[in-house]
Amino acid sequence: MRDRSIRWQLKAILMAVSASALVAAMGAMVAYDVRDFRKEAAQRLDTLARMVGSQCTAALAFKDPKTGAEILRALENDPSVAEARVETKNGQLFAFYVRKGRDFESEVRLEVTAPVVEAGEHLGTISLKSELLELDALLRRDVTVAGIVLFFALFAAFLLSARLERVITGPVLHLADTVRAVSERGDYSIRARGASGNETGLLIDGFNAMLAQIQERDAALLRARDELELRVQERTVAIRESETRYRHLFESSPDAILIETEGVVSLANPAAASLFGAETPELLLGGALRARVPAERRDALGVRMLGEATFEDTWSRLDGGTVDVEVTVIHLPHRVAQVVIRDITRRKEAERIKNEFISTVSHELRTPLTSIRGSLGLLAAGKLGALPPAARPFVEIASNDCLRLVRLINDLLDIQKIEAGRMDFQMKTQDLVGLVNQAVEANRSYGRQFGVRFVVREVPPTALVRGDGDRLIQVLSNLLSNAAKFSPRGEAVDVSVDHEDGRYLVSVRDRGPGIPAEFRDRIFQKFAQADSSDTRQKGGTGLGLNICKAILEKHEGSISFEAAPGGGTLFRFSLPELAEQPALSSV
Amino acid sequence: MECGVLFSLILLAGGESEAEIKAAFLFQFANYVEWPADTLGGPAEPFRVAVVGAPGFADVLEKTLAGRQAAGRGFSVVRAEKADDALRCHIVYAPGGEALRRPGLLAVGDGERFAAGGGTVGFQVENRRVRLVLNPAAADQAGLKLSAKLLQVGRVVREP
Repeated sequence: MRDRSIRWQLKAILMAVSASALVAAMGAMVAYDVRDFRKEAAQRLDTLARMVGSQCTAALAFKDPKTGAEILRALENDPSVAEARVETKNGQLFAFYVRKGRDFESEVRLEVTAPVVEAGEHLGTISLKSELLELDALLRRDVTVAGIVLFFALFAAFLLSARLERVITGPVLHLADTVRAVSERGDYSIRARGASGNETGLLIDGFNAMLAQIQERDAALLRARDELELRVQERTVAIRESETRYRHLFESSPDAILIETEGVVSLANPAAASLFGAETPELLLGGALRARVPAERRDALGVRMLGEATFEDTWSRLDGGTVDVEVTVIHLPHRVAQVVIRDITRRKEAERIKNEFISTVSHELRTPLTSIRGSLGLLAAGKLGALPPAARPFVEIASNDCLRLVRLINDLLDIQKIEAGRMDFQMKTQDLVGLVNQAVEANRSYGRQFGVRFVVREVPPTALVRGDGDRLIQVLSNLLSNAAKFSPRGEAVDVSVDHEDGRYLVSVRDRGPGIPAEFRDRIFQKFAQADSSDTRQKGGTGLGLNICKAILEKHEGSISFEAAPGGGTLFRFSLPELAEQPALSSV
Repeated sequence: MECGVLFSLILLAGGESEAEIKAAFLFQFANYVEWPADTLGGPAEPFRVAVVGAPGFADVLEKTLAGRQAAGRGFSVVRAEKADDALRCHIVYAPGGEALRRPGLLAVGDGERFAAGGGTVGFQVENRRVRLVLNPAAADQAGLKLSAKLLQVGRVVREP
């Protein structure tokens, strides 16, 4: 059903405009007519008054009201006169006339007064009154005519307006139909027709342009949605694949992996179950891992700190047995911790067997070496008779290599002790300066082998520390012998002792080639050697620095190295200064 | 409304005396009676109104006519002992005597009898009102023309 309201509105406006114009014109016409009629009637009545007045002069002059009244009676012939009245010049009523059947209710619309004069003699006045009854008739007639004219004019306007409004409403209604079609069917390909260049045409053009835009955007939106769906599908597949991959990694990991959330195990893999002797990983869930950790290790597990910690430990299994583990705790945000546990029972066992083997071998080697060393000493000292000159260098070589072998075995045993925790330290007050001098003296001959001098510089009078004198000398000897080995012939190795921030720093500086970059990271590890071939030439076990580090750590000390300015390497270790100053005890 | 014509009965109840009314009527005759041209004389000549006897009335008339004009002429009052003394006047009022018949002379007297006895106009008092009794034949004899309006107002008598 089409809503034709705009059509009827327009028609109504046209009609209203026509009607008001016509009514205004008719009104003006009637008003003019009435005014004309009144003017004419007034003139006529005035003439009549003067005429009747002139006939009344004698009656007035001779004071004969009866005659006056008879003269007024002649007005009966003019029904437009309602009343007539003659007064003397003194204002007294002289004669009076009222039309027969005069309706006193009807309004007097016109009244004229004229003087009564005879030969210049003013005798009195006459006044006539009229209701202008013809005016009513005139009005009736005019209104009737106006009504008829109005009726036909409006009819004509109506017929004309039907044609006129079609010009305006045609395009508008077509536009409205198009709008309805678009909104009902959602089809944005429809277009409104017609462009007449006026405002309606502008509206239609604008609407079409808008439709085109909507259509375009609709298509773009559809495309975007399809693309998005495709992308979501791809992502979903990728995520599923990734999830499967990670799950497989998690499930098949040989290491036990546990996820702790707020101190409670929330996820465990099959490896974790077998590590703890549980039948399924689910049996591990809900428990706290902390309970398995010795008190001094709990900080590492504590969820309050972020970061990563690795430690080795022996944990109990569900079946009551124990297992050696290497635990790595990675703290993630939101009080979540990832715990990776590796079963190192077999590694531990292997280490133990290795250590026992080394220990046994070392002990077994030491006894024969001692006798070899003694025998060689006797030979070299000439206690068994003078050696032939040709034998002398060979005895010396044998003696040196024997010493080297002893040192190697001692190092191995030291390492063994350190790892087994069986190294004993005789902690006493020591003067570091004295120890340095001792060590330098002890190694002077060794240095000479390499053509290297040891020079002690910048030494305070005393530097008191607490420690095991023999072990500290071992450290110093190690550093000095290393420096000697790696220095070119004729160079000096500088030794100094400094005091800084409550610690004593001992520096040993050589003028060697420096430490290769790739070796720096593992220089303090066991059996570390910069270059196998090179080291073999120099001789050494690769254990020295590791032992130094272990000894110094027992003294709350530390060791580091750096490339010295001007070439060479500078090794430096520090020990805490002894707070009080007790009596100096002998070494 | 049944009464087609109303006229006032209170007209004469005013303060005017009978003499004053008659004097006013005498003045009005100048407007409603036409004299032969030769009797009126030049344009500056006044109407001469004679009063025979009745000197009291003559006083009233003089007062009434003082300064008034009709058809451009003034008035003069002539006091006469006998009717003959008033021969050269235009209007003669003789309250007591016989009518004076002369061409160009308007003879006015009292009563219907005066007009019927050969006078032109007689003042007849009825119901305390002064009415005119006219004798057109006498006016004709005197060469006077009574206007139609005057004839309308007065009662006309025929000479016996």
